Amino acid sequence: MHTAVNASIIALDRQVSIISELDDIDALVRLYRPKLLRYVTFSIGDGDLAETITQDCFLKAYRNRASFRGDCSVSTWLFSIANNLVRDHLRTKKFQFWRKARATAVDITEMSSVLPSAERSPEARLLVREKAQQVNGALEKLSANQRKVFLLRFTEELALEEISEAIGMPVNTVKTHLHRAVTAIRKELGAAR
Amino acid sequence: MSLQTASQTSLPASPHLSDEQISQYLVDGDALPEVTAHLADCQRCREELAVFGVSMDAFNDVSLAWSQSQPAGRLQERLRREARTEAPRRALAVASWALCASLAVAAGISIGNHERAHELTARPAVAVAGDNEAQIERDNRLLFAVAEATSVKTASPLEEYGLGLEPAAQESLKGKNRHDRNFHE
Repeated sequence: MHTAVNASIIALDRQVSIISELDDIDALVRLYRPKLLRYVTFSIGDGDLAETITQDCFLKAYRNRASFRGDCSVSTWLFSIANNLVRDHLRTKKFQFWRKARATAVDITEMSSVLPSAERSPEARLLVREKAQQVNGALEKLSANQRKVFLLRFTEELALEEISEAIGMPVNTVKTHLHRAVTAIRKELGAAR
Repeated sequence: MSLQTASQTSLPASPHLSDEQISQYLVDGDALPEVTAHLADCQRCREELAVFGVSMDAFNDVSLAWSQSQPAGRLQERLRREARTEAPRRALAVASWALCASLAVAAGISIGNHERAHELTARPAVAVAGDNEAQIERDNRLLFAVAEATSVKTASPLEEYGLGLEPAAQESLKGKNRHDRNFHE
C-alpha cells in the first residue's frame, strides 16, 4: 500500500515535471527541435517539407501536452507524432510530395559547411564530409521503413523498444528492418567483407 | 551464436565474425555475449565495427550541426501565438464550467425548496392539545348526522321486493307496493 502510494506520488511528480517541460516553449524548442528536424529531413529527404512537418509536430505536441501521460520519454512521443505526420503527408499528398522531394533534396555537402571549423583540421573536415556523404547516399537507397528505423537507432540513439513505440511496429519487425538497413549501409560504406 | 566457422566444404575456418554477426551485433549487441567476448580479443573485428562507427559519427555531426544552425524563430513564434490564443480559450472554458455549475446549484436549491414546501402542506393535521375522547365522539356524531341528512336514500332491491323477508312480511310489502302504484296512477 505504502509502495503504491509512493509510486503514484512519483508518477504524479514526473507528470508535473513533464507538463512544465512541455509548457516551456524555449526549452522545448532548444532541446528537441534540432534532433526532430534532422530526423524528419533525412527520413523524407526534403529540407523544406521537413521544416513544415517539424513545426506542425511541435504545435500538435504543445496543443495536446495535457494528454501526454509520460509513459514514454518526451523525445519518443515527439518522434511518434512526427512519424504520424510524415505518414499522413505521404498518404494525402503522395505525388506532390515526391515531386517536391526531388526538387529540394538534401545536400549534405552544403550541410557540412556549417561544421565548426575550430574543432577540426581542414583534412579532418574533408574526411568527415566524405563519410557523411557516403552515409547519406546509402540512406537514400533504403526503403522508407528501413531508413526511419536506422535513423532512430543510430542517429537519435533510441532503444529498440522506443523505436517500436515511436513507429508503431513490433520490436521484432523493427529488428528485421534494422538488420537489413545495417547490412545495406555497411555494404555501401565498403565495410562488409 | 557460434562464430564464423568452416562450412562442410573445404573452406578454411575463419576466426573472425561474419558480416551477419557484425550486423546483428550492431542491431542488438547486448543480446550476443559471445560476439562481445570475441570483440574484446579481436583487433580486426573491432576495426570492422569502427568503420561503421566513424562513418555514422561523421554523418551525425554534420547533420546535427546543420539542424542546429537552422533558425527556429518561426516555430517559436507559432508556439507563442498558440499559447496566447490558448489562454483566453482556457478562461472561456473555465467561465462556461462555472456558469454551468452555478446553474446546477441554483436549480438544485429551487427544487429542494419546492420539495420542502410540499412536505409541509402534505403533513397530516396535528391533534390540538385540548381535544379529548368526549369531544371526538361529539364531532363524530355531528358528522354522521350531517352525512345522514345530506345523503339521498335509495331503496335496495332486497328492500324493495322484500327478498329475504318472512312470507307474511312479503305479502304486506306487495300490498303496500300495489297501493303505491294505484295511488300514482
